[in-house]
Amino acid sequence: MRYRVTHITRFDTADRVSIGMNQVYLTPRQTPHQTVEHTRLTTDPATTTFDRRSDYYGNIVHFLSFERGYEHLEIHASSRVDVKKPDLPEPADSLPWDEVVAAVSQEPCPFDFQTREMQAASPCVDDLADLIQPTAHKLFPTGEPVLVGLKRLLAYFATEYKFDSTATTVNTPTSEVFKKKRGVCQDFSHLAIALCRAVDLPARYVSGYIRTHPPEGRPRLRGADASHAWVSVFCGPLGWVDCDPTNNCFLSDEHITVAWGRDYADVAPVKGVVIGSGSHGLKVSVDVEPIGESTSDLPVAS
Amino acid sequence: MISNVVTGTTMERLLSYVGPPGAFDEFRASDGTIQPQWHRLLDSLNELSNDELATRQLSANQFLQENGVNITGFDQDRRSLRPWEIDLLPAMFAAEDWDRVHAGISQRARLLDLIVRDLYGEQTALSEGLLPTDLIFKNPEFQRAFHNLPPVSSRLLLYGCEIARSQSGDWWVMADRANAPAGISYTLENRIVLSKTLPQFLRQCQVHRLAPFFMQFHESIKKLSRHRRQNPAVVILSGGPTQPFYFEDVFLARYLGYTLVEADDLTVRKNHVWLKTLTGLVPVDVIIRRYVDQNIDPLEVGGYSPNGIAGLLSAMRHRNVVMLNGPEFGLLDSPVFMPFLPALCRHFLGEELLMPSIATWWCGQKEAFEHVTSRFDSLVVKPAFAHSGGQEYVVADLSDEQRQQLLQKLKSRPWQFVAQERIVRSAAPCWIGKHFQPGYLALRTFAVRKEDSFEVMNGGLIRVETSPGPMPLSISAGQCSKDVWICSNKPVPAVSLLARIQEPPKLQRSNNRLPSRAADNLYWLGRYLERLEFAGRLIRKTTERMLSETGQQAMLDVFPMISCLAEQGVVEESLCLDDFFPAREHIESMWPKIVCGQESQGNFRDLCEQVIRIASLVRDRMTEDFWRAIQQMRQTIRPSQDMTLSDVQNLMNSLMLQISALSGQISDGLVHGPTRHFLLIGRSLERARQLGLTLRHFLKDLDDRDVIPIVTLLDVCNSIMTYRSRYRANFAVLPAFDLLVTDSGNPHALIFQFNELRRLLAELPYKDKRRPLVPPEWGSVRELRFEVQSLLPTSDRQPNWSDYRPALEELLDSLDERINVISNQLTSTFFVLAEFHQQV
Repeated sequence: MRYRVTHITRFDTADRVSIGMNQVYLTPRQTPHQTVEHTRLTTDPATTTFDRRSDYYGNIVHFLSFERGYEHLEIHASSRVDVKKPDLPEPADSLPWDEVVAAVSQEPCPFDFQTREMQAASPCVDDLADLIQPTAHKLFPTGEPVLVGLKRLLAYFATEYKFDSTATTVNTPTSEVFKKKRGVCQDFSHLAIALCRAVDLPARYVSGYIRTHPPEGRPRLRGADASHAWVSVFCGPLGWVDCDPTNNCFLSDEHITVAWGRDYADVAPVKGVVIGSGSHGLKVSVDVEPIGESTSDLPVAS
Repeated sequence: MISNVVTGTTMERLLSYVGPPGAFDEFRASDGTIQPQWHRLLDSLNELSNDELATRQLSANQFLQENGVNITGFDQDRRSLRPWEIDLLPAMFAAEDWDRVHAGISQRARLLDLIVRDLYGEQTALSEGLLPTDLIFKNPEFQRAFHNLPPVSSRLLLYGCEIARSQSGDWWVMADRANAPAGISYTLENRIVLSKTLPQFLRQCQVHRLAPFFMQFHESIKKLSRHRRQNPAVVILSGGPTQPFYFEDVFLARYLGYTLVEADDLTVRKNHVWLKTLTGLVPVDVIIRRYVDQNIDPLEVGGYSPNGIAGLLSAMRHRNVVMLNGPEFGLLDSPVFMPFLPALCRHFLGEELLMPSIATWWCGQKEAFEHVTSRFDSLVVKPAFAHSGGQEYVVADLSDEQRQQLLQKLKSRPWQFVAQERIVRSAAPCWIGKHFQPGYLALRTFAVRKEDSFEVMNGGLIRVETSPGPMPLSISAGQCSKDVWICSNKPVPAVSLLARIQEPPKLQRSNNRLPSRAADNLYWLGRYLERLEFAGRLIRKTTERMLSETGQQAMLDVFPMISCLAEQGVVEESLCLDDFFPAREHIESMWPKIVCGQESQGNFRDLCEQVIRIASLVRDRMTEDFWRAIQQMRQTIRPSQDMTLSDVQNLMNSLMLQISALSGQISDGLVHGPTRHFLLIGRSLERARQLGLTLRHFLKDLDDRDVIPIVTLLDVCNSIMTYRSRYRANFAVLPAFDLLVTDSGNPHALIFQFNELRRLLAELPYKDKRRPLVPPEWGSVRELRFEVQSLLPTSDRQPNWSDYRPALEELLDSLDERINVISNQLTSTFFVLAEFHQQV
C-alpha cells in the first residue's frame, strides 16, 4: 500500500522568540517492509542551519535552527512511502518465547548483539520488574510460542486498558499507567515494552503513523490523523515483529514507520529549545493519505 | 595515641618513625634501612628545629586559608566550606620507581581513549565479546547522543589516575578519572605552598618540577584547536560556584590564562560556539570541560534539564569547536571496566596491561557474581556505574541484617554492583601534632595528551588517612593532603610556565571578553560592598553611642540610624518603635546578637556573607590581594559566643578597615576597563541610595538647632573631616546638608554619585547595534543630577534652609524607586544576554 504522509507542526508564541532550535524525527526510515520513495522537510520561516543525519539507531534526524527569530513556526514534513504487510507464520508455529530469550542471551550472541540493548531499562521505561513481573509471566507462560504470547499481550491491552487522552501526560511514569489502566498509544507502548523486558524479551519503541478509517458512510477528514506509536518485539529467527497494543493488531500495511529507539525519549517527533520568554501554542496536524484515493474534495478537519 | 613519645631533633624524630604493621612502608625497606630517596629530606630536616617546622606548618595552612583554597563549593549552606589542609612533610618517591608508574598510567590513558572511541563508534569491544553487552546497554552513563562525535572535536586531554601501593609494594589503580578529573589545581597549590615554606628543600632533594606538565597541557590545547592554533580562544567551562571543586576551575583559569565561563555564558549560532560578552558574541575554539553533568546539550541529552548549551553537539559534529575532555569520557569513571582491561589492552594495543587495577568483579556476570557471594565478607561492594564512587559497603563492617539486605539487592539487580578487594594502602610518616606518625596514602596523578600518547605528571596529590580502612575515592576525602616528590639523581633544571618566551602577543588596549554574567556579578558586588560599608558605619556609630551616653536626650541621633537600618532589614523593625527608649537596656544587651547573631536573617553578618558569596562568583577577575581581603573578612565575622558591646565595636572597627582595603583595591588594584567599571557603577548607585536613605531618616524629626544629629550624620556619611576643614566646629544644618547633597567636590555627596555615574556610563562598551540614541539609563541619571543641582538657587543668591529642606525631602522620597529604575535599565542593556532558555 502506498501513502502520502503530511505532518505539520505549528508553534505560536505569545512573545517573539529570538532564537529557536529543534531536533525532529519526522522523516520515515527504510525498513524491511517499507520503502521510502520521497521525503521533504520545509519550514516557515526558513532555517538558519539545517542538518540531516542518521542517529545511533539509523533513524533520520534533523537539526534545525532559527536564528532570526519568529512569532510563528511551521515545520512541514511530507513523504511518500510504500508499505508491505509482513509475512508472519501461524502464531502457534513460532518459537517459544523463552527459547528466543535463551538464544539472545547466548555468548556470543547469535543475532545482532545490539538486540540486547532492548532488554535493558531505558529513560521512559524504568525497571519495573518488581511491580509487573507477575503480569508479565501470566502473559508469557513457560514454553508458549512467542507470537501467541504477543497476541495475549495485545488482547490484555484491548480488554483491560481504556484509551483516554486526559489520563496521562508526556511525563506520566509507566508504573502509573499500569495502575490506572488508562492512557494513550505512547503509554501503552511503554508498558508493553516494560512487560516484554520484564521477561527479558527484547522490545523497542516505534514512532510513526497509522491509516485511519472514517466512520461508515462518512468521508475521510484531512489532517485528522495523528502521530502514533507501537512496539517491536524480537522473535528470534523471525526478527523484529511489530504489534500495536493500542489497536490490538500485528502490523499489516496500514502503519508507517518513522523511527525506533528504546522508548519515546529516543525518537520524540519534535524537541526544541527557544531563547525568549512567553508561552507557546502547539498545533499538530497529520494526514495519512492512501495514494490512489481521490482526496482533493475531502473536507478538512477543524 | 603514640606509645613512645620521642624527643630530640626533627631528624632524630623522623629516624625513630616506625611504619605500621601490615602495610608497605614508604620510608623503610623491609630490611629496616631507610629508602634512599628520603636521605636528602633527612639532611634538609636536620637544619630545621621542631619548633621551626611547627611554625612553618602553621604558616603553610594559613597561606592556604588566606588564598581561599577550599574543597566544597558555595552551596546553599555557605558555612559548609571546608579548608584544604596540607602536611608539610612530602612523600618521597625514587625516579626509577616513578618510571614504572609513568609507563603504566600513560599506557592506561591511551587504552581508555581507544575504548571510548570504540564504544561510541564501531563497538568492536561488544561485537567481539571483550566486554559484556549489558555493561554498556544497562549503563545509564552510556549516552547514545555522543555516538560518532568526530574525534577531532572531542578529545581526551587530561586523565586522572587514583593509585595505591599494596602490601607487596606494587602499584594498583584504584580508580580512573576521565570526565573532568579533579585535583590538578590542588596539586599545584600544594607545590606552591611547599616551595614557599620549604624553598631550600625542593632544591636539595632534587625534586622534579610540575611546570613541564602544565606547559604540555597548554601546548596540547593549542595543537588540538582546529582554529587559530597560535592563539585559540579557549574557555574553561565550569559548573559554577555551587560545584564542589569550583576552586580548581578558578585556579586553572587564572594559572593558564583562559576565560572561565558557565554554560549560560555560551551560545551556539550557525553551528559555532560563541561567548556572550558585553560587546556581543566572541567565537570560542576550545572548551575545556570542567562541567561534570552529562546534560551538556538540552536538545539532545538529559531529557528536560534546562542546563547546558543548546546546539553544542551539533557544533561539535560540524568540527567547529573542540571539547577537552569530550563528554563521552565520563563513561570511564565507573569501576565496572576494570575486570576487562587486560583483555581490552591486548585487543586494542597488542600489549599487556602494565599496571593492574584493584581486583574487581562485576556482579552482572554469573561466575563473577558467584565468586563475590562465596567470599562476600572480604570485599567492598559499590555501584557499578556511579561516576565518582557512590555509596560503598565494606561487607565485613556490616551487621547481619545489613549484610542480608545488601545481598538481596545484589541478587535482584546484580549488574548494578561491583565488588572489590580490600587493600591496605602503603604508609608514610606524617607530621601530626609535632610527631611523625604513620598515615595511609591515596595518590592521584595525572596524564596529559601529547600527540597520540600521554605524558604523566612527575608528582601528584596525596590524601592521608590515619586509619587503615578503605578511603573514599573523592579527592575531598582524607584528613589532609601531601605533596608528592619525585626525586632525581641529578639536579633538576628550573622551568616555569611564566618564564617561557612565547610568541609575542599583539598589543591590546582593552579586553572586551567580559561575559555578561560576570559584568552583572561585578555590578552587584559593587552595590553590596557599599551597602555593607554604610550598614557597618551606622552600626558602629550606634554602638559607640550606646557605649558612651546614658541620658535619653543625648540619644536623639540613634533613632534615625536604627530606623535606617530597619528599613533595609538589617535590624528588626520593632526596634524603631516608641518603646525603644524604655527598653533601651534590653536592646543594648541584645545588640551584639542582633548585629552578628547567626539566627537573624538579613542582619549584618548575613550581609557580609552575601558580599563574600558574590565576590566568589567573580573571583577569577579579582586580584590575589582582593581575594585575601575577602578571606580576612570571612575570618573576622566568624561567629563567637557572648559578645559585648565593645566587642561589637572592635569587630566593626576591623571590618571597616577591611572594607576600606577592598574599596582601595577597587579604586587602584584592578585593571581599568569593564571589570572595574561595573564595580564602580554599582558602588556609586548604591552610595546614592544609601545616602538618600540616611538623609531621609535624619531629616524626618530633625530640629534645626540640635547639633548632635548633624555631627552624627556627617560622621556616618564619611564627611565629618571635610566639614571640619570647611567650617571648623561650627555645625549647622544647611552647610551640612549642602556638603552631603549638593557639594560636587565631596566624593561622599549625592551629586558626586550622579556625576560619577554619568562619567562611567559614557565609557561603557555599548554595542553599536543595541545602543539607542540616548540609552535610558543616561536619561534617568541626567534627570536626577539636574534635580539635585536645582536644590541650590541658580543666581548668586545664598540658599536658605526653608527652601532647601522641602525640596530635598521631596527628592529623597522618590530616590529609592528611581535608583531601582536605573538598576533595571542597566540590567536590560547589559546583563540580559544572560538569556532565558526554555524547552518546548
